[in-house]
Amino acid sequence: MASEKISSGGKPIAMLKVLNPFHIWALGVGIVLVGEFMGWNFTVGKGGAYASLIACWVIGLLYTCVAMIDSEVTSTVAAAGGQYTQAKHIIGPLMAFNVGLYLVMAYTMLCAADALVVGDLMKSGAEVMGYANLDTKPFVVLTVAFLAWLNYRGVFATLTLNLVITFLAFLSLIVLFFAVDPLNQGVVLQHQGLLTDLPYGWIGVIASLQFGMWYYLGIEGTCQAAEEVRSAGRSIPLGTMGGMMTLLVAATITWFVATGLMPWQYLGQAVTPMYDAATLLGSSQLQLMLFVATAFAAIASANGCINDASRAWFSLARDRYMPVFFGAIHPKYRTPYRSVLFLVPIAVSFAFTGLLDQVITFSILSGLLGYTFMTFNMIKFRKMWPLGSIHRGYIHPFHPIPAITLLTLCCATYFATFLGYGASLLSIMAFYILASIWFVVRRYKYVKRADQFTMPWPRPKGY
Amino acid sequence: MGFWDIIVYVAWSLSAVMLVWMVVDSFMISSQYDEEYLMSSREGGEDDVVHGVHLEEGNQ
Repeated sequence: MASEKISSGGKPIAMLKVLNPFHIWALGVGIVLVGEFMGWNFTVGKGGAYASLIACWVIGLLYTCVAMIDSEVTSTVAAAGGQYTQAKHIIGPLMAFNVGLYLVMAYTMLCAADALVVGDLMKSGAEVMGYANLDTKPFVVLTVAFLAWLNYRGVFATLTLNLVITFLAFLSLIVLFFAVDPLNQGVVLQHQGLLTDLPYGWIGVIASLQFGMWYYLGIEGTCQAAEEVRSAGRSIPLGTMGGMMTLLVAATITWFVATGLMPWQYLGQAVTPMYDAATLLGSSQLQLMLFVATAFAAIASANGCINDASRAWFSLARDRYMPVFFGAIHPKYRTPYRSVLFLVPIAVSFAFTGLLDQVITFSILSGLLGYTFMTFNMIKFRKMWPLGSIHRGYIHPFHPIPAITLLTLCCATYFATFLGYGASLLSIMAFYILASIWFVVRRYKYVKRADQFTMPWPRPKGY
Repeated sequence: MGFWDIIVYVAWSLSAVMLVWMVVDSFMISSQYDEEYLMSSREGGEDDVVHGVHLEEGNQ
């Protein structure tokens, strides 16, 4: 006779609430910081050094709006799934499905790109040690497998690791900043000679906005941890806004150091600009530090992406937007273990294509679509539940100016993307339209509509 | 066999061990636990979640 399976005994299973604001900071900054070590410098290639600085601060403003809006809504809708759950409660099922898909695609693609970077770094390290043509595939798979294993076994250890390696990677940028003697121009830094006017004019500045997103892409992922953090109403805004401040400092330092050491023509196409900066300084210790820090940043990013993509996929499944099988929680580790496992072959498949720029473009555009949604979401949220009608852990100031600013900057970045990756933009739009049709025609019938709204809020104003 | 060849084999092996461990563990969990229990989580998690207290109810 088969033994009986262990059942709930009436008490539902739940993810563990073990995280604090430092973990939230590590999740947000950890996903992003790799962008300061590589990728941001393509802004320089698009419009020169000054255009890169303008993109750094303009896109910084975009993400500050994202962080403020996200902090307010997440402090109220404190559930895994983040923006997906917000869309479900505030706008409706089709928007929620799309936002959930943006999140899964953005983070899975970014994870694949990060794993590719780790593989390339291993190859570069082997070349330095005299071994040419190292196969990167085993290191790509190892990165994804190890981080998935970590995510599978518990969120506390996962994000504690992120906290340590993200802090060390950030510290390396600070060390590099002081190593270039920043107060004495002309000694190491050569800004006076290297900074030129805008080589492609203001259209170059607009074009650089797309790659400016590398400075901050992923900070909004903090809200995926809402269901696993203690005191979400306090921790999410603290971790997110603290993360945004860290990134603004890191981005500015990165620009300042790199543009003072390398001409824009080289910097605009460099693969690892911060490592190159350390090489130019002639210190083998700095070189080694930046090499390790770049690897740490890529691993932290992939780690955070697996965490966020799995929570988004899990939330979609829990609400039956995707097969409910993926909505399971591990009874021992309290993680969405099936979702973690499911995303491993997808991330590895994307990574094996080797198309880093296409993978990243898909990730960036998915993120951008999510930010565009946030503007409408915020306006509707304040309209339906005005201040005072429900408890908010954080209230962002000057509403609706941040939402309008965010929408304007999103439109400018779409235009920038169209200039450089028009075909990719259109094909990604087509992908999401087809996915929406599939959801409406084939999937929505499985969704339990009565279970959708779980928040104990009053009836919205005007309904 | 050189150092880097060994590293490549170690990377493949470690990846395989971790992936197989996860797959086996997930099957074991499915065989030991009731599916309804594994999928019984509610949005927002446990009772101490900040869910947005309805002020009118809170004031009553």
